[in-house]
Amino acid sequence: MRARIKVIRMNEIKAKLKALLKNAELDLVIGYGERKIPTSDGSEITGICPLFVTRESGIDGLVWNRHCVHNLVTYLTKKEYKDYKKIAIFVKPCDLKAIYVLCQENQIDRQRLLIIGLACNGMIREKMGISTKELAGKCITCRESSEGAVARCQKEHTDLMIESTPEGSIPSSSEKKALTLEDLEKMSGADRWAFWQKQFQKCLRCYACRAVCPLCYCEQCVCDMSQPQWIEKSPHLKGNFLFHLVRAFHLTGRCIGCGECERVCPMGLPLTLLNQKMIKEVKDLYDYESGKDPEQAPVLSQFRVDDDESFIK
Amino acid sequence: MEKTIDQACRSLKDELGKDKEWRPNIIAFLCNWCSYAGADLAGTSRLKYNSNVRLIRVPCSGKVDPLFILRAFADGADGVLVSGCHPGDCHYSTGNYFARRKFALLKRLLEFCGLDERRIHFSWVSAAEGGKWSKVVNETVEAVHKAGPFKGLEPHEGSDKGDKDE
Repeated sequence: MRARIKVIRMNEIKAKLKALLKNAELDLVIGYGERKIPTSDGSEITGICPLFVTRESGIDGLVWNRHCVHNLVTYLTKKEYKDYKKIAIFVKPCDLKAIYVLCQENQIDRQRLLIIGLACNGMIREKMGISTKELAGKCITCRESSEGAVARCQKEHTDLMIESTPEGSIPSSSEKKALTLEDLEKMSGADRWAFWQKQFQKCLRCYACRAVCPLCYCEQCVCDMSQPQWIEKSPHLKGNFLFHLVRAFHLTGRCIGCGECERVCPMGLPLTLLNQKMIKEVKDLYDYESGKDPEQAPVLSQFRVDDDESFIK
Repeated sequence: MEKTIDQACRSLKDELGKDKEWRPNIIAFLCNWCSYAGADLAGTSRLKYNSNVRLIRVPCSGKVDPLFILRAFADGADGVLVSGCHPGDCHYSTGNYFARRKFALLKRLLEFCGLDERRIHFSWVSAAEGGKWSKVVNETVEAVHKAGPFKGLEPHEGSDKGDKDE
């Protein structure tokens, strides 16, 4: 059994991480840091970016505030970080679910990780690296869910935890109401087809959504294959349609709804709608929620003899 | 025999193109052990059914990656049919149980994207059900015929037009 986790403050965490790095008990810390972004009028604004620390001196650069919207779990499966033996990582409750899924799929070794949970009650939406004044889309869904306004890190799976929520009030939701899943479900099939065609046509195939996704870790993606070429690579409707549907299907029963794909999309495709739809269907059909338990089997790797087959002749 | 989904679509299109009237172009994925044998039985029993279906034999319905189905639509199929062994009869014991979950979710995903549900069909056909196979094909052809030609992914034409019904 795991010992009860310690709840401590940011400066205590920093001191602890410094000591661990000094004693070589830790090789890498993945957290949030500040960076300067030049603006068009020549001035600079401060933004947040992922910060990778391997030396004691870098620890002071770590920050935790309302702009820490990134999901850092995505770096854990990238080959650049595979050689680090012990990694400390900062995770919000929603990001933690991605670690659970990676554990389920045997992609990471829990023993290599020092998970530092962050208490989060809403992040600010970011647009092309610049922060807005609104609540991030994923936080709206999270806050409306049964988990409550202040989402808590599941205590049994974090090693350390910062329980102070970021300073300042929770930002308000966007005034312009975005298209929701319910709106789309109410449309007729033909209207939905037209909607998605319009969206898919915008796609540039920059694959930012794939790069940022914590659960897209295949060493060779089917979208990059050329012998045989399953999916056309040029950014045209046919290939885009295949790419986005394959992406949505590969995340079916796995997506934890962190919304990173939509955040990084330069063309503003509402990708989380596809993911949310599949999360809903998986829950509806198989009563399964991804990222709930690191020990359960993935939904498509299990079956029940009495699964629904009303659609099969 | 065609080697790829693309070739199957093209050869079927060429053949159907000779007819004056439009006939739906349907790609069917059949499991080797039940449905393919069932289709064979339909043939040896001299059962008549619509000929505008191209069969692609796969080891198991569990082998049918959703990508195969999507690719068939991208290659110009008007409808897709997937057929495997009845639950409990799978040659690999459980392949069709896993397939069933994938297909249920894929069907919902495609419907959410607005694809006409009459274009995608699933069935369980055993090696002894030649009659059921011909019935399933005829029903599928009829449904896809009603849905009309699938033009949703054609370049230049596709934008903002939608998958028009009828």
